[in-house]
Amino acid sequence: MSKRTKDQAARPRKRRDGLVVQELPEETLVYDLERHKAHCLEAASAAVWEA
Amino acid sequence: MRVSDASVLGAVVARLPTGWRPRPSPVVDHLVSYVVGGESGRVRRLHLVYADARRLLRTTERREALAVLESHLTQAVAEMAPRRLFVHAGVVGWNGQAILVPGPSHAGKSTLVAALLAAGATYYSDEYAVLDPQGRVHPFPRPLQLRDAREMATSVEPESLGGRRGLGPLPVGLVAVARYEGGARWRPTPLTAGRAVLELLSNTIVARSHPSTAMATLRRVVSRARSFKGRRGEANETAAWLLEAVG
Repeated sequence: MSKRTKDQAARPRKRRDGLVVQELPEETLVYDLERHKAHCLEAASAAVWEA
Repeated sequence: MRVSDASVLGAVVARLPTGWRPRPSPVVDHLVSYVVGGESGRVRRLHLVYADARRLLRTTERREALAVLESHLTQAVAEMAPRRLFVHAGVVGWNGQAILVPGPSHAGKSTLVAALLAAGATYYSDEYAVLDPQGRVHPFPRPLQLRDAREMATSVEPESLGGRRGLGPLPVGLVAVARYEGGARWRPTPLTAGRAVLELLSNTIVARSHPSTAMATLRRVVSRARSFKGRRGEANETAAWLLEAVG
């Protein structure tokens, strides 16, 4: 396994399922359908989450 | 809604949700039953309240049975309304905009709404903000439920507090998360739009069952509103601040 692949494997993966996402002009709202918990991401946090 | 004794119909009808209408069909989405209790000779029968087949209450107190009945019917409407989103909140109108005060029961919503009415605001609700898909708020005109020091609720018509009833939908101009705390001073901090949605969502009846619809509607609510959060003490001081803030 290459070093790049190991780095990628170590990264946390963005969940794609079981979420409701609403974009606001400066924030992103994420509702977790499994835990029934809502989160508000400001721009920097949203950028990390999207990466 | 069905009862086992026609003599209680008047008391039950008085507690039906605002805007109720009789339906000729016996087929219903949700059946609430009140089996009337009381004393007959040496036999004491309990008052029973059912929602479909689920028993909500058994009690010796007719007053308690009627209170649970009313509370459940209101909650059922809030959960089942197809085109409206119900958020626990006090609501008044002022200069063509609505002020929303979200919060759970016993958070002081009714007291603050009463102070706002006394200051000249228009009455929309002391219990639910009824929102349409555009994010406008509609009247939910039941009487205010003001509690005394012993937590006993009394129904109070808004007119007796100097208020008028709102008639049509209003855009929301201000969201104020104002939790009562004895001796506190109202020094609120602004909320971002996203934080305001979270505050409203935590007071939304169908947040868990319909989060996507709820968040879309609440996003429209806060897009036009300023939002604040803080602890409040005396209601009149906070009411004056809110009316000044919405302009």
